[in-house]
Amino acid sequence: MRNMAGLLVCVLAAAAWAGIDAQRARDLYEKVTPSLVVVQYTYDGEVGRRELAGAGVVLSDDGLVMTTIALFPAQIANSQMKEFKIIIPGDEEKEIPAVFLGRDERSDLAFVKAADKAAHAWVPLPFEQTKLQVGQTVCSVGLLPKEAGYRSYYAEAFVSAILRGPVQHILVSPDGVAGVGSPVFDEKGRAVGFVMGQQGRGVLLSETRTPLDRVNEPPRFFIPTQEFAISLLKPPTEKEPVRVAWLGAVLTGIKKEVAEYFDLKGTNVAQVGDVVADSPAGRAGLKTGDKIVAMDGKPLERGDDPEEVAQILLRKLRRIEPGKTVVLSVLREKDKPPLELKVKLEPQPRQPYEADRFYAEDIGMTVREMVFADIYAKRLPPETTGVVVSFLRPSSAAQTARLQPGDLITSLNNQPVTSLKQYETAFQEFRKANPAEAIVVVVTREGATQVIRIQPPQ
Amino acid sequence: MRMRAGLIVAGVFAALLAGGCAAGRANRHPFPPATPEAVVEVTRLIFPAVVRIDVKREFYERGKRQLRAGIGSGVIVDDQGRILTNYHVAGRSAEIYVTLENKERVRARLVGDDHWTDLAVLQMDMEEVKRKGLSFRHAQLGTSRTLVPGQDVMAVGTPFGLARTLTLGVVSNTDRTLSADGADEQKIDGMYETGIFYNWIQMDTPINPGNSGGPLVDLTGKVVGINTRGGGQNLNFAIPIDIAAEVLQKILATAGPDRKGRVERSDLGISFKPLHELEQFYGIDINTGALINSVDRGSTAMKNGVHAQDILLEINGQPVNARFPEELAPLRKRIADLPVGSNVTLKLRRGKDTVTVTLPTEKLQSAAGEEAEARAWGLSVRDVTRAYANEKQLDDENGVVVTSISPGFAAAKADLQEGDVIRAINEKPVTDLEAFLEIYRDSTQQKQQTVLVQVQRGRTSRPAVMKVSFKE
Repeated sequence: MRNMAGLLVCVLAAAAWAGIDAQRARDLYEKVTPSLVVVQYTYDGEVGRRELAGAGVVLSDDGLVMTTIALFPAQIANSQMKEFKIIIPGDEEKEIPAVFLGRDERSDLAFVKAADKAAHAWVPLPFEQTKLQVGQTVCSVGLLPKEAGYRSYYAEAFVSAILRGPVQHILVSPDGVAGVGSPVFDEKGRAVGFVMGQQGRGVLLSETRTPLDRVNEPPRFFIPTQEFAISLLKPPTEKEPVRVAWLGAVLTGIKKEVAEYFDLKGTNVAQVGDVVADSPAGRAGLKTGDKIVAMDGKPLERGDDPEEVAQILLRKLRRIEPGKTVVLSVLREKDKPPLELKVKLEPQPRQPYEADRFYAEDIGMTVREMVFADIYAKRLPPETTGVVVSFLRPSSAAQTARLQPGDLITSLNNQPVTSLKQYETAFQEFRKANPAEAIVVVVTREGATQVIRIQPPQ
Repeated sequence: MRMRAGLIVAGVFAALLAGGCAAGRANRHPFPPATPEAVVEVTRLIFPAVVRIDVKREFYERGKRQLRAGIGSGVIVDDQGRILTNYHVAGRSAEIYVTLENKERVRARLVGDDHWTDLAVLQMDMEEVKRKGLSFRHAQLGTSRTLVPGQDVMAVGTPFGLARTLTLGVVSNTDRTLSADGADEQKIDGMYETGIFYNWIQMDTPINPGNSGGPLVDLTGKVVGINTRGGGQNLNFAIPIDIAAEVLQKILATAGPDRKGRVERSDLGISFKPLHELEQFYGIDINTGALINSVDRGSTAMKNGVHAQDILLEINGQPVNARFPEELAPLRKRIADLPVGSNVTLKLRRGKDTVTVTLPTEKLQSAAGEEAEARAWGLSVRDVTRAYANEKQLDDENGVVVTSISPGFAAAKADLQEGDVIRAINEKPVTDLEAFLEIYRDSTQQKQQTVLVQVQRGRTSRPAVMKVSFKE
């Protein structure tokens, strides 16, 4: 036994020392670089335009490129993202017009595709699913920012921990991995993971504090391939954007003491905190206070933190194809066997960033369609209609009139607001007939209403 | 503009009358000026009626009822030793000492308080006064109705603990509202609504922390306001004495040996907005009506079909006019002054129609419910009132809200947080503070070591288990 243990240590130590030798590193660097591209788009906001760029990886020979969802923050509406481009770095830098295929919330990725697949000889990078081990050497190849001509660079580190959670995180040390949006490789040069957006680590290649941010403050973890393989197998297409599945219930984990109180010690439990009546969970009869203990007959998984059970289950559910049915085993009454509830999952309701918008230049205010999240957050009756204030230009008429982002406009000039289209039409018609006349809106804010008069500049 | 000018003229006329009736050399002038003689004379009169107040006020922090020391000012209003001061000085106070002009200290107790007007009434311990052979004078309350901008006024108080400090200045404005659009965002101690039923006297008389609760007097020595806010520079504000006198009278009338005096007010659940610049939009005459900005959920107004954007034309047959923000406070006071539970008839303009609605008034409630501690559990809670439920958009007013948590104790370990609403304990519903305290008492008496709490946080409901330890 003693010998065996000694041998094991030796082998591990040898692996650690060996790492990846310089020649292999250089080979990998040369091989991978043609697959690294820049994804760029124009954020066409109310107050101006900005070009935003981040790192991406070529996935197929028809110009499909994967990047992180962090490049498309939720504050930027889909309708404000324009002129997508794939930039091929190099002395002969190429800009290839591209199409946005959408955010993929199953895996926190986003995809773009070249408008003309023949525009470039694409070098796809295949990702592989492997089991990573603590102590193993990993390396990554990323892109430096625009100021450095998007030059590719190599980074190497050890796997220092494998964190369980809703998503497995591979922690590395002592140095980090290459910047957000970079692929990560094992000693054999297989692409085994991807660097996702993470706190305090810049996503943009276009606007950096210093050109060497990414090298000086490298990301400290990456996500292994198996966590996003689902998106590689079936990436979104122009015709079929990804719609994640929706349960329609808030789930929370329970603390150890609560588990003990309910004699559930050792059982992984997701507790139902709220149920949306008109949702898959509501229709299946799930109730606030229910304790979910299994899905499709299998006990729930736990993370390193036992309270993560709920997030892990929710992520699982999100990744199931909408329309499919799952069976949740639910404890409701004491000493009674679990109820088996069949839940037919539905696509997630429209998100604020998907909502259409209307910007009125004269009063400096953008409103967008109301979506389910607004009704839920503001505790409004489901039949409520209106539009939501999403942007106020500083010092504009609307801001001076003290409108606030998030206000729900339910009435315009004494007419109820039924949809964005109706609001836009009513506004434009009124404006045409009365070029400088004030409008009067009624907004709902924190449970109270406000009557507000907005006087455009005279 | 025209209407405001009108008000001022009326004020001048009233001041003339008042000046004419009053006796004494200084009083003959319609706006007695601050001559050196008058200032010294008034100081001599008012100093013996002003006290320094050292107070310990109740507040809840880290799960416990605690006391916080403060210093303020007060004015003695009668020969029985009653003192008028600010709520933010002595409201919710547990221990009070007042220091008289001769520097002697006397115990006092809280007779009643009213955060809506930021006023409190204290009673000096008269036995102690007698025993120590102390003497004091009381101030004469004047009227704030006849004050005019430009008139000389004096303030006496304890700025920064410096007792018996006299400052001098002029009235800058008699009709000041501190919220331009009529919104009432002001709160005392971050919780208690205030200042919505009157407009302020603004003066350039220096006021500093500690001046609060002291008198603003005219140059006849009569109290015309209670100094309450210093705005820095030369912008200072006093509560008109007419408002304070009414609150004083109501607190004294309702106070008993075991009962704090208070002011009961009516509420309809309506908030208003000035109609200025909106008359044309609603097609009504200028200086007619008040715009209903919002109707509270569950309020008597909502139950009886009053809507936002209705224009209130009359209350019980009497016309209403709130064209400017300055006119909102008097309108709110008109409603507050209606007898609680009485029927009131509102005439409303709704679009082109005129509608009449008769509805009962309700008792005005604060969003800040009563507070208490549950020491063994390591948390303090507050009753959820309807106003609080509306503000936080809770489903109903059942439950108590966690106001503070004691680190290291049961509630903290169970991850309870400030703002959580406790809806049930050990599967028994917690409807209000009383129900909570009853369960708490029972549970601690039985030395229950495991307590199941159902907590509402935002829209999410979750169970928590508190592990309570009892140490002798």
